[in-house]
Amino acid sequence: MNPTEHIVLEGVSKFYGEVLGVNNVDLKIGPGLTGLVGPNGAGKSTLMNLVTGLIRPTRGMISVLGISPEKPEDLFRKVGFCTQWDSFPPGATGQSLLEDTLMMHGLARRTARERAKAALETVGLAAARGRRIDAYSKGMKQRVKLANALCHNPQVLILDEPLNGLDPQGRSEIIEILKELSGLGHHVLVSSHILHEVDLISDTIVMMHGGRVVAEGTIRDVRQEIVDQPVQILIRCDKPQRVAARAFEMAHVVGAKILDQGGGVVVSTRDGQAFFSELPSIVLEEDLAVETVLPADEDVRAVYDYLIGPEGGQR
Amino acid sequence: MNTGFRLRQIRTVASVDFRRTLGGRRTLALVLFCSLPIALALLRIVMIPEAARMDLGRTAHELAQIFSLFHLRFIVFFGCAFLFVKSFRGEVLQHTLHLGLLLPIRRRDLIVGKYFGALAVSLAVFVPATVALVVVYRLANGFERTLQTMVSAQGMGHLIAYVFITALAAIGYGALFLLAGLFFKNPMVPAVLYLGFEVLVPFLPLPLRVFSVARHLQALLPVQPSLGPLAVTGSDMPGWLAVILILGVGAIAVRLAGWRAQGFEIDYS
Repeated sequence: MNPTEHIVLEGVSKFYGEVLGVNNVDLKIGPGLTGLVGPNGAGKSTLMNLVTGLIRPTRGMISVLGISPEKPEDLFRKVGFCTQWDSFPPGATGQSLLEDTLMMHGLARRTARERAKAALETVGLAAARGRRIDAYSKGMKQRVKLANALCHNPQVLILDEPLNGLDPQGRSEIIEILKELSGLGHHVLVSSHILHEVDLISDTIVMMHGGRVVAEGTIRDVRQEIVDQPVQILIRCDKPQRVAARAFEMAHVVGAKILDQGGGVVVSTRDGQAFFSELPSIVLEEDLAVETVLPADEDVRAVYDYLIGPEGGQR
Repeated sequence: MNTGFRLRQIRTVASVDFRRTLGGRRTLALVLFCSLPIALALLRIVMIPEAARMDLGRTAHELAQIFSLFHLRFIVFFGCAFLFVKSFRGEVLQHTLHLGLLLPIRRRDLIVGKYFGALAVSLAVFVPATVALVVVYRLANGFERTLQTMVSAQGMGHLIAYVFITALAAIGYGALFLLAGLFFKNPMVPAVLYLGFEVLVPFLPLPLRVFSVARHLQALLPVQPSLGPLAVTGSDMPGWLAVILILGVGAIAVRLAGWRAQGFEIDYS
């Protein structure tokens, strides 16, 4: 692993007196889009604040592309952070906020003005750039924060709940921007409690609970490590009852549920490989017209429920 | 990172803070606050008998008193407390400090920029207020005599001295209040304690008197007022030493604030 290409946390803990922030976190995050998920109080924001140096670890070491968060003069040339806070300097407009930020990056006022304008256009705030941020809606404030984080074209973009307060169209637009950035090889770390959206955008996930990282990797890798939960496989076909009946003949199958509309069945098995190897013969013998065969629980929601529990309480 | 670039960043922070503060509504309240001694001077024109008002020596003496006791130790002192505390602790209270801490600038440079931004605002507010106070106070002597006094070498010298003292007060108090903002959640408590310290300075051992900005400033007054129990013995100090001490105290306070900012953690709770 080259530390200059990763966000690295080694044995990082943060305690606020007796209160735990994060505990003994070891992580390395590479380029692409990484979703940071977990219930409220899991330590997601603490982790992001640690990575950006807004708070300091009680123990452990952090580096972002080889740079210590204790060197903001180097760190924030490469990092943009869209925080959870919706506060702005009184009287600031979207344009003035970004211009000031860009001038701190060393840009001349004229260039800063152009770059600020372009960044605000990217997030869909071109028409409102001259208005005071105090008068922006929640969604517009989210957009201006995002513009402020990405206006200097950072290699690493860290976003704390960036989809909060956005309408569906806004979410879709922001997701497109994030996908584009990660496609260009940027590191994009996004925390969100909207699991299906994390699922849509993330290449990898980091799942946190109680200040600890409980899982990390691709959704598939994480799901495969959860061996105590049967694998759910969805088969959409014309004879779901026959599939269910044949499935129950297999020793490793522990359940089968016909879908409400009758167009498919979800089979639960302790051995996915074995089921997949036996499925072709069932299809041939029962003369099934199969539409799709999909893992039904290889998504963030399912993994989250298995590891943390549907209510955010750890299993 | 080269020094030229760092200086440019400091200048940018200062100019952004200057613009944001001077354009803020609270600055108008500060301007009104600064006009209190001027209102007092206007009241004096109306209230005091003409014979007493025409006494130039008495006017100069009273001006030194009101400048030292009211303008400097109350208006400039609390005005600086407001401006310099606002520049850091105020940003914690309004949850905007992170915007500065997420910029590619050394934190100690950020602090220096904020200091100069607040200093520029304080000079923009207090210097005109000082000029207005001196001019309005002398107006009691009549317009003709005021004009004559103000354009005379002594009158102009006094005005420049008052402006210089005001600027030095902003430099010294400002640095101390900025530092207090980094160490205390409510810096007005140490501000009031410091005011108490300045009052008690005459009764304190000599080494402690070094930390009194008022004592050093008093050494620079063009006319030494009799301040009664609130007097601080400063006139024994040469002016150049007083200036060096204030600049020194200011520089040390800003350096300490920068050091403190290095380890500062965001906590808006």
